[in-house]
Amino acid sequence: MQSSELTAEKEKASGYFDAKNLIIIAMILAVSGFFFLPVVILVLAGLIPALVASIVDDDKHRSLTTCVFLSNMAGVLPFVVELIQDGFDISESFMILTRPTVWLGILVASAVGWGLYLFIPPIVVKGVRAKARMKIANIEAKQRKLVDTWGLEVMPPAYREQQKKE
Amino acid sequence: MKSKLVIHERFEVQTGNQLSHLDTPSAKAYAASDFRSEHQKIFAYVCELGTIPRISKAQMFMGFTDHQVSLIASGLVSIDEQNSFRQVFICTMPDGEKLSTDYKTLFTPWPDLKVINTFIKPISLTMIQFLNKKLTHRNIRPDNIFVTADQSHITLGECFCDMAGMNQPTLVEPLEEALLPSQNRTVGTEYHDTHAIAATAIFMLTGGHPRPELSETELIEERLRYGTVNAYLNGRKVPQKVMELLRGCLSDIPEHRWGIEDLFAWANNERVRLVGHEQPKQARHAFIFSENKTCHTLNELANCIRQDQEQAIAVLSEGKVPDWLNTELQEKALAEYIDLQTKSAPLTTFTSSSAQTQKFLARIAQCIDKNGPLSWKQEMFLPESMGGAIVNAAINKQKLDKYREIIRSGIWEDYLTSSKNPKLDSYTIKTKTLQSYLSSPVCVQGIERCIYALNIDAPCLSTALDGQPAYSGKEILTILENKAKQNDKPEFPLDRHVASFLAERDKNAKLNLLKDLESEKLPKKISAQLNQLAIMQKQSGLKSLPNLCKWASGICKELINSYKNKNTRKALHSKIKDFSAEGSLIKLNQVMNNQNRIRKDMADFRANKNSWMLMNSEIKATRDKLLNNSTIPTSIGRRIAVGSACLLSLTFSAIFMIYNVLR
Repeated sequence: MQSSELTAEKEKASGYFDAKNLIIIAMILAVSGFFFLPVVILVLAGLIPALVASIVDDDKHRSLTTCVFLSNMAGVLPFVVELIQDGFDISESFMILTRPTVWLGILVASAVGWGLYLFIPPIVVKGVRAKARMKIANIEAKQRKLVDTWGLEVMPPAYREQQKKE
Repeated sequence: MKSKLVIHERFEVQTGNQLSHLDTPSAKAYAASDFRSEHQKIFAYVCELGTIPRISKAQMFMGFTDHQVSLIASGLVSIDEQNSFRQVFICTMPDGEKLSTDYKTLFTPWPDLKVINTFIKPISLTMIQFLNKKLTHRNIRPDNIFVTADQSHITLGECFCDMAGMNQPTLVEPLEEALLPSQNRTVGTEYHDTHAIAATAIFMLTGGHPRPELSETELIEERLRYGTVNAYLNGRKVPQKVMELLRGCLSDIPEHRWGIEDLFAWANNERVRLVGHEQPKQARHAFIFSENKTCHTLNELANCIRQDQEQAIAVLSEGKVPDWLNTELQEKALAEYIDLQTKSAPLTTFTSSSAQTQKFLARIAQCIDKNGPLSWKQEMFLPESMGGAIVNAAINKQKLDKYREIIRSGIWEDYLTSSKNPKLDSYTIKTKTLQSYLSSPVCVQGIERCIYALNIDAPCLSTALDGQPAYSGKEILTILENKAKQNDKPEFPLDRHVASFLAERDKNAKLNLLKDLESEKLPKKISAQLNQLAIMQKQSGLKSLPNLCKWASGICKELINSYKNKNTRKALHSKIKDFSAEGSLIKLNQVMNNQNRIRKDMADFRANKNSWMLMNSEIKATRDKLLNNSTIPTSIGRRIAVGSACLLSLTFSAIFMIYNVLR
């Protein structure tokens, strides 16, 4: 990939954390914190793996961040429900955060997101390439059929010479 | 040879019954009968290979009632099991035997009155019929005249089995024709016939050849020196009446000669234009042309120049000719002309084989003897006889380069200009046409076209016909059908000769198609061959030609291979076998030369060539996009990963929420 393209991608990636976005996030957090402070504390702490992923993610579409964030959120959700059911106060939030099983759940969920991001693309690449090879083989078969019917003359001279040598 | 030959389903030729006494040098005679009229006394002439019968005038040779062997029917007939074709003529049987068979045997001389009443009178009447039909006999000679045992009736023999004048001995030919080899003789005029009649009359009066002691060459030399009448009579006394005939008919000056009407008038004691005693002007001292050649007359000198051209150049270079002409023959104007010509020409640089030399010598010889023939490298000819010369050379498989040179040289032009003979005007135009034929190497032109343009009676001389006579497309196909069975046949049935023959004879012939018969592009050539064969079969009405069809199918292989589509080729190869069995060249041509199929094949080929290129581009694009570059597949993979993560999270969350609600 060209260096200029890399730079542009990085600029685009870092664009998520530009001043405008940070202000919007800060405002959402401030408003949410005002009404749902215990939930905000739990979620902010629980989404640390997603934050880490967003920092290391250099994909312009931020696929890693999305994958880890979604699975991370799925991992945090049961504890948010537990917080709401058990009193919805700040001390309960901290109580939940001190339990190792909670962190194990959150991290396992995040790991699933990481796993999806790491294993699915190579599998898809192999699949797409296999399909492309099949397509090429198919076209080549059609070309061979044309040569069978019309002779080598159906090919341009340069290819014909090559074919004859082979 | 087959024991019986049938012509037009009416005449039967009994080949087992040969009539040798009627044979001619060109044809053998056999007994024949007419199914419709069994009492009619007829016989058949079967022409030898290589002869050129006067086919174009065949109809005209019919209907002679008396004193002439009349033609009844003619046709091309297969004479043996190998289907060798020959021209056959059915003729009326003459009474009596030939006047002479070998020109050496002597017989009792005929009295002059008997010659006049039995020979000249009836024959002049017959010749009037020839004159009215605008025909010449050109075959009047002692061994072609039949006389009854009581010598009361004479019949002239055939005159259609070979070219005019072909078999005439020099004795009966006018001097300018006698100088030509027999195959270079012309169709001639009535004056040629009166000459032959008068020469035959001398033969009768003298009881045999008038100069048996002389060879043909010696007799010509005598005629050149003393004139024909003097040479023939050799001092013999003849009655004044007969002398009038001889001087009138045997004059060496064509303008003085008697025609048929003069002869008829003379025979009937009417007033005639008398010709005086003629003898070439003799020199007191002979001109020594070479060690063994001396000349006493102009004609002798001209003949020496024509025959020995190398010596002629040497003699003219010495400049003695004008002196001799001036002092010995008092030909002052001629001497001055030759002197001027020899001085203005660079004789020292002349080689005897060059065209410049040939033209120069022809001009000199002609101004010395304006009635004499032209010569080109010892080949003597007259403009009218060029056709016969070329066609005979072609039949005898001689090289035709000499004739190409003659036509290209325009040597005739001087002759035609100076001869001032209105009958020869057409040859001036013909010369230009012939030269234009030689200017192009294409199939319907060349020397082959000249052969047919100059000889209306020439059969097609294609090598595939093996010398068998064919005068029409139908006859060509019939012979080719037979040839097709043989192993030694050429690769293609139609060649340059067939193309030129049809171009000249068939007014409806497609010249462009005929040109392609020898095209350098093989498919084009094959296509033209098939097309022309089909046209010929259609025109001839011949239904089935299985062998020729098989031959044509053989050459189709290359045409089929020119189709681009393999399946089409396969289908056509399998169809060929069916056509061979059916023998239809028309159907074979329709299938093989289907222009729509050829066009479709080419169009499909081009379209598929483009398809192949598009496919190649697609392969290249796919390789570049998906195999050699992993960016796109990885990007797709990541999106799928995001989708999977989304689906998994939502599923987990939903299950958890439902579980929690239910609990």
